[in-house]
Amino acid sequence: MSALAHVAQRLRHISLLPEFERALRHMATYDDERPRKNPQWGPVIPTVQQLLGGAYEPIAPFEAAWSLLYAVIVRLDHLQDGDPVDDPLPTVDRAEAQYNLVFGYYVLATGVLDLLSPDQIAVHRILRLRHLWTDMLLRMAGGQQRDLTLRRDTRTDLPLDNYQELAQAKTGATFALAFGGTAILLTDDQRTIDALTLSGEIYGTLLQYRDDLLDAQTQPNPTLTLPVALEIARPDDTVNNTGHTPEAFWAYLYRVYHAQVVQALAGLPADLENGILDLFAGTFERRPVHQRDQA
Amino acid sequence: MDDIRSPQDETSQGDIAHSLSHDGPVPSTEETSARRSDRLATLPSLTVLAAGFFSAVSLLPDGVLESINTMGGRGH
Repeated sequence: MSALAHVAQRLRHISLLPEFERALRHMATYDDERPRKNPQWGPVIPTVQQLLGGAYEPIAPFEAAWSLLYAVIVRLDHLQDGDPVDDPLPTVDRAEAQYNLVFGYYVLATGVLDLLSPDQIAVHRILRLRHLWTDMLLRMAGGQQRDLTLRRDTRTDLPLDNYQELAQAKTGATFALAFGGTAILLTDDQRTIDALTLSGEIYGTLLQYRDDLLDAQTQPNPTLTLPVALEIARPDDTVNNTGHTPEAFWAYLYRVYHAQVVQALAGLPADLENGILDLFAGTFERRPVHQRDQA
Repeated sequence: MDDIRSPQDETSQGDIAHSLSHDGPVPSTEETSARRSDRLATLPSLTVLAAGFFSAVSLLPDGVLESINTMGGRGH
Protein backbone atom coordinates (compact mmCIF):
# COMPACT_ATOMS: atom_id res chain seq x y z
CA MET A 1 0.00 0.00 0.00
CA SER A 2 1.40 3.42 -0.95
CA ALA A 3 1.85 6.38 1.39
CA LEU A 4 -1.10 7.97 -0.37
CA ALA A 5 -3.33 4.99 0.42
CA HIS A 6 -2.29 5.16 4.07
CA VAL A 7 -3.13 8.86 4.10
CA ALA A 8 -6.56 8.15 2.65
CA GLN A 9 -7.16 5.49 5.27
CA ARG A 10 -6.04 7.71 8.14
CA LEU A 11 -8.12 10.68 7.00
CA ARG A 12 -11.28 8.61 6.80
CA HIS A 13 -13.99 9.51 9.32
CA ILE A 14 -12.26 12.59 10.77
CA SER A 15 -14.63 15.14 9.25
CA LEU A 16 -11.89 17.62 8.45
CA LEU A 17 -12.77 20.96 6.95
CA PRO A 18 -12.92 20.18 3.22
CA GLU A 19 -10.35 22.72 2.05
CA PHE A 20 -7.84 21.50 4.65
CA GLU A 21 -8.34 17.86 3.71
CA ARG A 22 -7.99 18.73 0.02
CA ALA A 23 -4.71 20.51 0.75
CA LEU A 24 -3.32 17.54 2.71
CA ARG A 25 -4.31 15.09 -0.02
CA HIS A 26 -2.81 17.38 -2.67
CA MET A 27 0.54 17.42 -0.84
CA ALA A 28 0.49 13.67 -0.18
CA THR A 29 -0.22 12.98 -3.85
CA TYR A 30 2.86 14.94 -4.89
CA ASP A 31 5.00 13.46 -2.12
CA ASP A 32 3.99 9.90 -2.95
CA GLU A 33 6.45 10.11 -5.84
CA ARG A 34 9.40 11.35 -3.79
CA PRO A 35 10.79 7.94 -2.74
CA ARG A 36 11.01 6.81 -6.37
CA LYS A 37 12.85 10.01 -7.28
CA ASN A 38 15.37 9.67 -4.44
CA PRO A 39 17.41 6.47 -4.66
CA GLN A 40 19.41 7.56 -1.60
CA TRP A 41 16.52 7.15 0.82
CA GLY A 42 13.63 5.57 -1.08
CA PRO A 43 14.74 1.93 -0.68
CA VAL A 44 16.17 2.18 2.84
CA ILE A 45 13.25 0.79 4.90
CA PRO A 46 12.28 -2.03 2.48
CA THR A 47 15.94 -3.05 2.24
CA VAL A 48 16.38 -3.25 6.02
CA GLN A 49 13.05 -5.08 6.29
CA GLN A 50 14.12 -7.69 3.72
CA LEU A 51 17.48 -8.17 5.42
CA LEU A 52 15.77 -8.79 8.76
CA GLY A 53 13.44 -11.29 7.13
CA GLY A 54 10.16 -9.82 8.35
CA ALA A 55 7.00 -9.31 6.32
CA TYR A 56 6.55 -5.92 4.65
CA GLU A 57 2.82 -5.31 5.05
CA PRO A 58 2.79 -5.01 8.87
CA ILE A 59 5.48 -2.31 8.80
CA ALA A 60 4.16 -0.51 5.70
CA PRO A 61 2.50 2.24 7.81
CA PHE A 62 5.91 3.04 9.30
CA GLU A 63 7.47 3.39 5.86
CA ALA A 64 4.58 5.61 4.78
CA ALA A 65 4.87 7.75 7.92
CA TRP A 66 8.64 8.11 7.55
CA SER A 67 8.32 9.05 3.84
CA LEU A 68 5.74 11.68 4.72
CA LEU A 69 7.97 12.93 7.52
CA TYR A 70 10.82 13.30 5.04
CA ALA A 71 8.50 15.30 2.78
CA VAL A 72 7.52 17.48 5.75
CA ILE A 73 11.20 18.23 6.42
CA VAL A 74 11.83 19.09 2.76
CA ARG A 75 8.80 21.39 2.67
CA LEU A 76 9.74 23.02 5.97
CA ASP A 77 13.30 23.55 4.73
CA HIS A 78 12.04 25.24 1.56
CA LEU A 79 9.69 27.42 3.54
CA GLN A 80 12.33 28.51 6.03
CA ASP A 81 15.02 29.12 3.41
CA GLY A 82 12.72 30.76 0.89
CA ASP A 83 13.85 28.31 -1.80
CA PRO A 84 11.96 28.11 -5.07
CA VAL A 85 9.78 24.99 -5.24
CA ASP A 86 8.05 23.10 -8.02
CA ASP A 87 5.27 22.01 -5.69
CA PRO A 88 3.97 25.18 -3.99
CA LEU A 89 1.98 24.70 -0.80
CA PRO A 90 -1.73 24.62 -1.66
CA THR A 91 -2.75 27.62 0.40
CA VAL A 92 -2.57 31.40 0.32
CA ASP A 93 0.81 33.09 0.04
CA ARG A 94 1.09 34.00 3.71
CA ALA A 95 3.75 32.55 6.00
CA GLU A 96 1.39 31.87 8.91
CA ALA A 97 -1.02 29.87 6.73
CA GLN A 98 1.84 27.96 5.10
CA TYR A 99 3.49 27.06 8.43
CA ASN A 100 0.14 25.92 9.79
CA LEU A 101 -0.42 23.68 6.79
CA VAL A 102 3.04 22.12 7.17
CA PHE A 103 2.30 21.63 10.87
CA GLY A 104 -0.94 19.83 9.97
CA TYR A 105 0.97 17.72 7.47
CA TYR A 106 3.45 16.73 10.16
CA VAL A 107 0.59 15.68 12.44
CA LEU A 108 -0.78 13.58 9.57
CA ALA A 109 2.63 11.91 9.06
CA THR A 110 2.77 10.98 12.73
CA GLY A 111 -0.89 9.90 12.62
CA VAL A 112 -0.14 7.32 9.94
CA LEU A 113 1.78 5.41 12.63
CA ASP A 114 -1.64 4.75 14.22
CA LEU A 115 -2.21 2.28 11.37
CA LEU A 116 0.43 -0.08 12.78
CA SER A 117 -1.71 -3.00 13.88
CA PRO A 118 -1.26 -4.68 17.30
CA ASP A 119 -2.73 -7.74 15.61
CA GLN A 120 0.40 -7.96 13.48
CA ILE A 121 3.13 -6.35 15.57
CA ALA A 122 3.58 -6.80 19.31
CA VAL A 123 2.38 -3.76 21.24
CA HIS A 124 5.67 -3.24 23.06
CA ARG A 125 7.42 -2.88 19.70
CA ILE A 126 4.95 -0.25 18.53
CA LEU A 127 5.42 1.66 21.79
CA ARG A 128 9.19 1.51 21.43
CA LEU A 129 8.91 2.80 17.88
CA ARG A 130 6.78 5.75 19.03
CA HIS A 131 9.42 6.55 21.64
CA LEU A 132 12.22 6.42 19.05
CA TRP A 133 10.10 8.53 16.67
CA THR A 134 9.71 11.29 19.25
CA ASP A 135 13.37 11.14 20.32
CA MET A 136 14.63 11.45 16.75
CA LEU A 137 12.08 14.13 15.83
CA LEU A 138 13.22 16.26 18.73
CA ARG A 139 16.84 15.80 17.63
CA MET A 140 15.91 16.84 14.06
CA ALA A 141 14.10 19.91 15.31
CA GLY A 142 17.15 20.81 17.40
CA GLY A 143 19.44 20.40 14.40
CA GLN A 144 17.23 22.57 12.26
CA GLN A 145 17.06 25.18 15.01
CA ARG A 146 20.86 25.35 15.11
CA ASP A 147 20.99 25.48 11.32
CA LEU A 148 18.61 28.43 11.30
CA THR A 149 20.42 30.34 14.02
CA LEU A 150 24.10 29.47 13.45
CA ARG A 151 24.99 31.11 10.15
CA ARG A 152 28.23 31.06 8.21
CA ASP A 153 29.49 34.23 9.85
CA THR A 154 28.96 32.87 13.36
CA ARG A 155 32.23 32.25 15.17
CA THR A 156 32.44 29.31 17.55
CA ASP A 157 35.36 27.66 19.31
CA LEU A 158 34.85 24.32 17.59
CA PRO A 159 33.14 24.95 14.25
CA LEU A 160 33.67 21.45 12.92
CA ASP A 161 32.24 19.86 16.06
CA ASN A 162 29.34 22.29 15.87
CA TYR A 163 28.75 21.33 12.27
CA GLN A 164 29.03 17.61 13.03
CA GLU A 165 26.46 17.89 15.82
CA LEU A 166 24.17 19.72 13.42
CA ALA A 167 24.60 17.13 10.64
CA GLN A 168 23.98 14.24 13.02
CA ALA A 169 20.94 15.91 14.56
CA LYS A 170 19.35 16.86 11.24
CA THR A 171 20.12 14.04 8.86
CA GLY A 172 21.73 11.41 11.09
CA ALA A 173 18.63 11.25 13.29
CA THR A 174 16.35 10.97 10.24
CA PHE A 175 18.06 7.79 9.08
CA ALA A 176 18.66 6.45 12.60
CA LEU A 177 14.86 6.49 12.76
CA ALA A 178 14.48 4.69 9.41
CA PHE A 179 17.01 1.93 10.15
CA GLY A 180 16.37 1.64 13.89
CA GLY A 181 12.59 1.92 13.61
CA THR A 182 12.43 -0.92 11.09
CA ALA A 183 14.59 -3.05 13.40
CA ILE A 184 12.42 -2.26 16.44
CA LEU A 185 9.29 -3.39 14.61
CA LEU A 186 10.84 -6.64 13.38
CA THR A 187 13.02 -7.89 16.21
CA ASP A 188 13.49 -7.76 19.96
CA ASP A 189 17.23 -8.38 19.68
CA GLN A 190 18.71 -5.27 21.22
CA ARG A 191 22.14 -5.85 19.70
CA THR A 192 20.62 -5.78 16.20
CA ILE A 193 18.50 -2.71 16.98
CA ASP A 194 21.51 -0.81 18.37
CA ALA A 195 23.75 -1.72 15.43
CA LEU A 196 21.16 -0.72 12.83
CA THR A 197 20.27 2.52 14.59
CA LEU A 198 23.94 3.51 14.67
CA SER A 199 24.36 2.47 11.02
CA GLY A 200 21.41 4.70 10.11
CA GLU A 201 22.88 7.60 12.02
CA ILE A 202 26.13 7.20 10.07
CA TYR A 203 24.30 6.78 6.75
CA GLY A 204 22.39 10.04 7.25
CA THR A 205 25.43 11.93 8.52
CA LEU A 206 27.43 10.81 5.48
CA LEU A 207 24.65 11.96 3.16
CA GLN A 208 24.89 15.41 4.73
CA TYR A 209 28.70 15.49 4.53
CA ARG A 210 28.70 14.36 0.91
CA ASP A 211 26.04 16.81 -0.22
CA ASP A 212 27.86 19.64 1.52
CA LEU A 213 31.30 18.73 0.15
CA LEU A 214 30.47 17.68 -3.39
CA ASP A 215 27.53 19.96 -4.12
CA ALA A 216 28.89 23.08 -2.43
CA GLN A 217 28.20 25.27 -5.47
CA THR A 218 24.56 24.31 -5.53
CA GLN A 219 23.87 25.10 -1.88
CA PRO A 220 21.56 28.09 -2.27
CA ASN A 221 21.38 29.43 1.27
CA PRO A 222 23.88 30.74 3.80
CA THR A 223 23.58 27.75 6.08
CA LEU A 224 26.58 26.25 7.87
CA THR A 225 27.93 23.64 5.45
CA LEU A 226 30.99 21.46 5.88
CA PRO A 227 33.24 23.55 3.56
CA VAL A 228 32.22 26.66 5.48
CA ALA A 229 32.96 24.99 8.81
CA LEU A 230 36.36 23.95 7.41
CA GLU A 231 37.18 27.51 6.40
CA ILE A 232 36.23 28.78 9.84
CA ALA A 233 38.22 26.04 11.58
CA ARG A 234 41.36 26.45 9.47
CA PRO A 235 41.18 29.96 8.04
CA ASP A 236 44.68 30.47 6.71
CA ASP A 237 46.53 27.24 6.42
CA THR A 238 46.26 23.89 4.78
CA VAL A 239 42.68 23.94 3.55
CA ASN A 240 43.41 26.27 0.69
CA ASN A 241 47.10 25.53 0.21
CA THR A 242 47.39 21.78 -0.01
CA GLY A 243 45.79 21.32 -3.40
CA HIS A 244 43.39 18.69 -2.10
CA THR A 245 39.94 18.40 -3.60
CA PRO A 246 36.65 18.11 -1.70
CA GLU A 247 36.38 14.66 -3.25
CA ALA A 248 39.61 13.55 -1.58
CA PHE A 249 38.47 14.81 1.81
CA TRP A 250 35.08 13.14 1.28
CA ALA A 251 36.77 9.83 0.39
CA TYR A 252 38.84 10.05 3.56
CA LEU A 253 35.79 10.75 5.76
CA TYR A 254 33.82 7.96 4.10
CA ARG A 255 36.59 5.47 4.71
CA VAL A 256 36.74 6.29 8.43
CA TYR A 257 32.96 6.24 8.95
CA HIS A 258 32.58 3.09 6.87
CA ALA A 259 35.01 1.37 9.24
CA GLN A 260 32.72 2.45 12.09
CA VAL A 261 29.77 0.75 10.38
CA VAL A 262 31.76 -2.45 9.86
CA GLN A 263 32.61 -2.41 13.56
CA ALA A 264 28.98 -1.82 14.58
CA LEU A 265 27.72 -4.70 12.46
CA ALA A 266 30.42 -7.21 13.46
CA GLY A 267 28.90 -10.34 14.93
CA LEU A 268 25.48 -9.95 13.31
CA PRO A 269 24.33 -12.56 10.76
CA ALA A 270 26.48 -12.36 7.63
CA ASP A 271 23.52 -11.69 5.32
CA LEU A 272 22.45 -8.71 7.39
CA GLU A 273 25.98 -7.35 7.70
CA ASN A 274 26.70 -7.71 3.99
CA GLY A 275 23.33 -6.30 3.01
CA ILE A 276 23.80 -3.12 5.05
CA LEU A 277 27.33 -2.67 3.69
CA ASP A 278 25.93 -3.13 0.16
CA LEU A 279 23.39 -0.40 0.90
CA PHE A 280 26.24 1.95 1.86
CA ALA A 281 28.25 0.94 -1.20
CA GLY A 282 25.29 1.46 -3.52
CA THR A 283 24.69 4.95 -2.18
CA PHE A 284 28.20 6.24 -1.56
CA GLU A 285 30.59 4.31 -3.78
CA ARG A 286 28.77 4.70 -7.05
CA ARG A 287 30.53 7.12 -9.35
CA PRO A 288 28.32 10.14 -10.08
CA VAL A 289 26.75 10.14 -13.54
CA HIS A 290 28.73 13.15 -14.78
CA GLN A 291 32.01 11.46 -13.81
CA ARG A 292 30.99 8.22 -15.53
CA ASP A 293 30.24 10.17 -18.67
CA GLN A 294 33.72 11.70 -18.62
CA ALA A 295 35.47 8.40 -18.02
CA MET B 1 -21.88 -6.26 30.83
CA ASP B 2 -22.30 -9.42 28.80
CA ASP B 3 -19.27 -10.82 27.06
CA ILE B 4 -20.33 -10.83 23.44
CA ARG B 5 -17.22 -12.57 22.12
CA SER B 6 -17.77 -16.03 20.73
CA PRO B 7 -15.51 -18.92 21.74
CA GLN B 8 -14.04 -18.64 18.23
CA ASP B 9 -13.08 -14.98 18.90
CA GLU B 10 -11.47 -15.95 22.15
CA THR B 11 -9.36 -18.63 20.52
CA SER B 12 -8.11 -16.38 17.76
CA GLN B 13 -7.37 -13.54 20.21
CA GLY B 14 -5.45 -15.98 22.38
CA ASP B 15 -3.44 -17.24 19.44
CA ILE B 16 -2.52 -13.73 18.40
CA ALA B 17 -1.49 -12.81 21.93
CA HIS B 18 0.66 -15.90 22.09
CA SER B 19 2.33 -15.36 18.74
CA LEU B 20 3.16 -11.77 19.60
CA SER B 21 4.37 -12.46 23.11
CA HIS B 22 7.94 -11.73 23.99
CA ASP B 23 10.34 -14.07 25.72
CA GLY B 24 12.36 -12.42 28.45
CA PRO B 25 12.36 -8.88 29.82
CA VAL B 26 11.83 -5.95 27.46
CA PRO B 27 14.13 -3.00 28.27
CA SER B 28 12.25 0.15 29.19
CA THR B 29 12.03 2.79 26.49
CA GLU B 30 13.92 5.20 28.74
CA GLU B 31 16.71 2.67 29.23
CA THR B 32 17.04 2.09 25.49
CA SER B 33 17.01 5.85 24.84
CA ALA B 34 19.89 6.35 27.26
CA ARG B 35 21.96 3.61 25.66
CA ARG B 36 21.19 4.91 22.17
CA SER B 37 22.22 8.40 23.13
CA ASP B 38 25.58 7.11 24.38
CA ARG B 39 26.25 5.11 21.24
CA LEU B 40 25.29 7.85 18.80
CA ALA B 41 27.72 10.21 20.48
CA THR B 42 30.64 7.96 19.53
CA LEU B 43 31.03 8.89 15.85
CA PRO B 44 34.55 9.94 14.89
CA SER B 45 35.13 13.64 15.52
CA LEU B 46 35.37 15.86 12.42
CA THR B 47 37.77 18.16 14.24
CA VAL B 48 40.17 15.29 14.83
CA LEU B 49 39.71 13.83 11.34
CA ALA B 50 40.28 17.16 9.61
CA ALA B 51 43.46 17.76 11.62
CA GLY B 52 44.78 14.34 10.60
CA PHE B 53 43.79 14.73 6.96
CA PHE B 54 45.31 18.15 6.41
CA SER B 55 48.49 17.34 8.31
CA ALA B 56 48.97 14.26 6.16
CA VAL B 57 48.11 16.02 2.90
CA SER B 58 50.55 18.85 3.58
CA LEU B 59 53.38 16.34 3.97
CA LEU B 60 52.67 14.33 0.84
CA PRO B 61 55.31 14.24 -1.91
CA ASP B 62 54.36 15.65 -5.32
CA GLY B 63 52.16 13.33 -7.32
CA VAL B 64 50.70 11.44 -4.40
CA LEU B 65 48.02 14.05 -3.76
CA GLU B 66 47.00 13.89 -7.39
CA SER B 67 46.33 10.20 -7.11
CA ILE B 68 44.36 10.74 -3.90
CA ASN B 69 42.27 13.42 -5.55
CA THR B 70 41.27 11.05 -8.32
CA MET B 71 39.76 8.75 -5.67
CA GLY B 72 37.06 11.29 -5.01
CA GLY B 73 33.39 10.68 -5.56
CA ARG B 74 33.60 6.96 -5.15
CA GLY B 75 34.23 6.79 -1.44
CA HIS B 76 37.08 4.32 -1.40
